Amino acid sequence: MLETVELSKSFKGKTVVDGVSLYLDQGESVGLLGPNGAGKSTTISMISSLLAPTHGDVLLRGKSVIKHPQHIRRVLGVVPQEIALYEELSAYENLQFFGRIYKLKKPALESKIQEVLEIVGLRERQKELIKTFSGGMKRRINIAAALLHNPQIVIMDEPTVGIDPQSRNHILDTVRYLNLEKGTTVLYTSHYMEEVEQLCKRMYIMDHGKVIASGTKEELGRILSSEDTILLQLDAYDDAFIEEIRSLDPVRQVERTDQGLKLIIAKQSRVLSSIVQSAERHSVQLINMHVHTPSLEDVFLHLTGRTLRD
Amino acid sequence: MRAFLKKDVLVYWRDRKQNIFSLVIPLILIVVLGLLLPNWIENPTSTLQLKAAMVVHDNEAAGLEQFQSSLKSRGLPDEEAAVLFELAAHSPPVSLLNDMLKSDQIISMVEWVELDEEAALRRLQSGEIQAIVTLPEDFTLHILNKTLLDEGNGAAISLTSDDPSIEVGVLQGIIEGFTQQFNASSAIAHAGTHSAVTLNQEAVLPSIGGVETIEGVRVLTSFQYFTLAVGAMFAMYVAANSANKAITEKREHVFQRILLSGSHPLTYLAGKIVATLMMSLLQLTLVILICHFVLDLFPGYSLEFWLGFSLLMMMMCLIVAALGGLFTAAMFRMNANTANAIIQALLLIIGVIGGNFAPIYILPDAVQQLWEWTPNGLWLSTMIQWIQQESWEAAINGMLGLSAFIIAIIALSVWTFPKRGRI
Repeated sequence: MLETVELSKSFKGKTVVDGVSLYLDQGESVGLLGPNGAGKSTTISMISSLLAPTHGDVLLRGKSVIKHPQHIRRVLGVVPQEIALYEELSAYENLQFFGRIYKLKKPALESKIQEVLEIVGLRERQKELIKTFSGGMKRRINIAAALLHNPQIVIMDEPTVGIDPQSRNHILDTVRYLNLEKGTTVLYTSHYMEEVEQLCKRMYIMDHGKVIASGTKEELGRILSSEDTILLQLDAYDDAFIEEIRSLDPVRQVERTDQGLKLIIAKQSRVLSSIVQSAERHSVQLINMHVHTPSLEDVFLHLTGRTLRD
Repeated sequence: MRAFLKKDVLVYWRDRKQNIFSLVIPLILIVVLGLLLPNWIENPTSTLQLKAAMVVHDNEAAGLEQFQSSLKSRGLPDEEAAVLFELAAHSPPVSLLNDMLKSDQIISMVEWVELDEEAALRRLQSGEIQAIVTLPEDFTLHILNKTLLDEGNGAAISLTSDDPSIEVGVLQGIIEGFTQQFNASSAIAHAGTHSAVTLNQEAVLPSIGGVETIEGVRVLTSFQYFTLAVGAMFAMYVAANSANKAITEKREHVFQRILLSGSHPLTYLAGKIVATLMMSLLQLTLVILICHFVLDLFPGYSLEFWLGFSLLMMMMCLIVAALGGLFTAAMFRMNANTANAIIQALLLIIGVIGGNFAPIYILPDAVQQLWEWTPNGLWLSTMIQWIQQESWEAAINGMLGLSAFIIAIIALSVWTFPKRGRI
């Protein structure tokens, strides 16, 4: 339905998106993962025809969006990362304005406003000004504004950043509803791996402007099928200890966590006793140790050398 | 367009802080300036400076001789003829006018140069002098004939100027005062005579382009001046406020959402311009109406005056609306902080040059030259003329100039505003 072909964008000689090719089938929910600055938002701007690429093309059912932006604008709803609403207007007035600029006529517009308010669960609060809303409620109206014209494709750019768990769950439910109940094609970008795992069947992982991996959760998981993850809960440790752990043969990656260290090691390697000995040598108190199969978060760490929220 | 207009008006209307700023601050400023500087506009002689030429075609001595001869030829009794000649010789009109115009008080305001007509016209054209006072041939004889013998049509003092400034208005007032005083004195001295000295209301030198007749001029009060000047200044800030709202729309990606809807970017700009027009009209109307009722600004003015006044007010608001469009376009073209700094600096500069902060005549000559080259200065100048003279000719000329400004600013806004439908 929608695909990008070698999409690139440079600003003042600096390449921020570099040859990104991805596709979305009709009714599919696809995740676009990457840390801040990975190039996700720029890619979205190019897909939605707001930003002209330096190179490459975006095709909607085979037709170039770059040459004919109006084709995609009719069928696309974009939920920007920013709260793209008027703070001084009520939720209803905001939706009324955005509905009108999509040329929705009065009876249809009224029912559509009530429908999208129902979807985001804010029908009772529609008369209140946006500036009185919590961050989560604003994000929900931000989504509602993108749904007024019945888009076939919805692009959501980090719609759950900085909000309370209740609103977050509501937004995730909304995405599921749109995709599963209404058959809307969804491109969901986030740096919360668990959200993408829950919502999307396929995902693309971006870093430094490039797609570095793509596939289903299972396909991506297989990238680390030959590895295990060890979580060490430590009392106190120093750089010398980390260096010694890193020098152990089966250890492929070491990352600091809130409570200690996360190690990616060769699967079924016998490294635990070496870790315990190192801890004793450096007088590091080992509180807990947990070995598990790598998650997508670990896959990302493996591929990029950094976490999604770096 | 209606959707954009409604949205913008609602957004402006609900910005209580900005609305209070736009309404209350100008009212405070008008009252404070009007009270602190009550005589700056009404009695500006201490600060007014005018250079004028006196062109005298009359020969006073010859006029007196001719008058004496004419008395004899009329066959008047010697005693009566002697009394009349004594009256004429005691108060010859040209000498009296000269004494008055060259008194210390007038000299402190007007620098006189005696020139022939041709040289005076040249200097008026080049701007070296601002007015010419002309006494025609046989002025003395005709005035004496009229005032003492009630014969003939008298004679006229001509005031020629292409500068409808406060200074010229004041000079005209001085000459009018002289004619009234002279007529009254003559009437007392010689019962039965009629007013004879008149101020010529017609342009006497039609060959000069732009020679303008100065008609009866009302005195402009400080409160009137500051209401217009401060009101217009704060109306222009409505344009800056519009642009500030556009920054938020740009930063928060609302504008991108608008583009995605397929709306033409110029529809958005048009909405901004019309909303700015409505808000500035509301703001300026409220400021002027409140001042009018509280300060009794224009007591007893005619309906025709209010019609012209309203038209000129609309012109100012159209200027503000056009500026709103231009400032909005600038916000989208450049970095918001840079654009904002440029807008604030521009408003400050045109505010000073346009006389919005202080009466223009206290500013250096070089700045005064630029007054009518700013839209707000041209508006203020036209409005002052309208209040003083109620001349439709001057008002229409001003409105044509303002229309040119409006068209140019809107064209620049449209040209500058990104129209590609991309960011």
